[in-house]
Amino acid sequence: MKNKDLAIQTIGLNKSFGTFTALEDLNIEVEPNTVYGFLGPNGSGKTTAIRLLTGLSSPTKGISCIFGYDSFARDMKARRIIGYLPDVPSFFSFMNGLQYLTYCGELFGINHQSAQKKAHELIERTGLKEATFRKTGKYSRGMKQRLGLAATLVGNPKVIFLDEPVSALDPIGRADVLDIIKDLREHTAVFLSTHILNDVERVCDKVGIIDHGNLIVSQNVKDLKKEYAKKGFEIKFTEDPSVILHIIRMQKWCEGVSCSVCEDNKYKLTVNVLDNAKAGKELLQIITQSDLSLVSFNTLEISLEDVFMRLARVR
Amino acid sequence: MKNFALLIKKELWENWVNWKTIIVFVFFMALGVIGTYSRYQNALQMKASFQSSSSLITGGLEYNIAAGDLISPLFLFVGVAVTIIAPLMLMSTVAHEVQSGQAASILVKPVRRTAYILSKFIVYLSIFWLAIISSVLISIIYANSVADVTIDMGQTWRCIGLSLIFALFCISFMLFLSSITRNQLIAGGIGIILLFFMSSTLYSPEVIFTWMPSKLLEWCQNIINNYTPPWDWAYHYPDLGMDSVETEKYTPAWIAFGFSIISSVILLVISVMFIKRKEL
Repeated sequence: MKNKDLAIQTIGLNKSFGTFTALEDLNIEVEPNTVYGFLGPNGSGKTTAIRLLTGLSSPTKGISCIFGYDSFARDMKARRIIGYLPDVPSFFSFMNGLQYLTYCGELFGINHQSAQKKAHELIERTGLKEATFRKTGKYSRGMKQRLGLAATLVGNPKVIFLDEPVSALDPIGRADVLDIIKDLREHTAVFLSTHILNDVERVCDKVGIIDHGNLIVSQNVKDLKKEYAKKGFEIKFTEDPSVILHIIRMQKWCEGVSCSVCEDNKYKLTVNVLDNAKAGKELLQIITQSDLSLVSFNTLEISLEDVFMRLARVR
Repeated sequence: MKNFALLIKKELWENWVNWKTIIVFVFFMALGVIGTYSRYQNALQMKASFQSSSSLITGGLEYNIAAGDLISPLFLFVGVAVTIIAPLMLMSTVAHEVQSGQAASILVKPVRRTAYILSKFIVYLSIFWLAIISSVLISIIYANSVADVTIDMGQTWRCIGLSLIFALFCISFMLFLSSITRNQLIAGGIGIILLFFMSSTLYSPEVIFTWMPSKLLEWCQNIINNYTPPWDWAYHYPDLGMDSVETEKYTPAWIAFGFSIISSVILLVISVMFIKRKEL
């Protein structure tokens, strides 16, 4: 059932090219004012999904909706409320940055003066002020990505699709663009396709992982990390902790324990457990009784990258 | 409708900035002047040789340069020029924009794909039509200024009309090729070969070529040279029979006329349908 309250909704979306299935039974729901990270390795179907959602491509089967409007419908209601930044943005090289943004604004029905004003604002916001009057054909790849982001925002969209928006940017540019994406959350739903997991962790509320055209998982970043988090501890000592290894192994809550030497010549003990609370308390008692010099005692942290790798390996 | 106007503005702007519009106009106007000048020089030579031979005859005969002598080949030149310039100008108009992603960046906005194709069609048609009209008008002005000829404007406008229909076909054909092919070089290559083949059927008497749009250019020659076929909507060509005796034959011109208009519309409709289904 179509839901008008959802910024993005796909129901059983399929896309095939001949016998090759690029996307299979994709079901996504993205609420307004959410940054949705769409993760997947190269060739997993991320760009195909975005093209279907933006109406640039038609599905073989299924529905894709933007606030309840069919993305490929002729009435173009969906297209009035979306913005799209492709992975390699391309512009009319005979226009300069200001002219291009003004033209894009006019295509959204904004009058020339207002579009020009908006274009100036966006040029400033995306750090392109020095290149305002430069022909877009002379822009570097990073500048094109910034201009593409500005062009995406010029029509005041309710939903934005960004396909690898920071792939051509230097670290400062990347941080700037990610800050813009964070700010966008206040008024807009952002669908961010990327394979840079750090960026997703930094800005996304929800994440979908796709592989070989199939959506493996789609849920909140926190919930995802919680679900896939390893339970355990990482403990560092100045001396070799072999003496307590057999004691730990004998505990009911212990799933496994390993010891290694770090680069700083400290000894690291990694303990995987069934119950963090109970194990934490008892581990501290064992260490205290052993007279070993403790350097650090941390619970195991899982990154999105760990989750991604784990899910990808499972497939 | 506003977006359609914006698309037309973009096409005009692009063609102006890239010098395409200026080049087409300068080329066609130069064709008008140079073509007429060369025909005028030929006519002067004819006149001189005619008068030197007629002076031997008592009383002498006078050779008058006719309007047809000066401007009739122009329609042929213009037609051939269209078959060369149209592929060069239109080969990239859709194919390159689709390939580079420029089309996607526009069509993801509230812009209809039909409007995208029609805006290109209207702009290129306008450029070629105005260039052809300018070429003929400048040729007439030049012919009037160098020779005392009476030009029948009714006939001239009929010929201009036929040339415009010929250009309409060439533009629809190239827009169609640019829409269905994956890159501009393929579109340009196929376009130049096929339009050149079409030009090569000029004056060929085979019935199989009767429908060719290039026959409209032959029809222009007939009109300007005051050939009067036995029925309207026909043009004539001299046919050398087995005994090398020239006989007059007439071909119904409405076949080429009708084919040009109908096929132009069909090609345009297919281009729109193709773009509507295209994966961008």
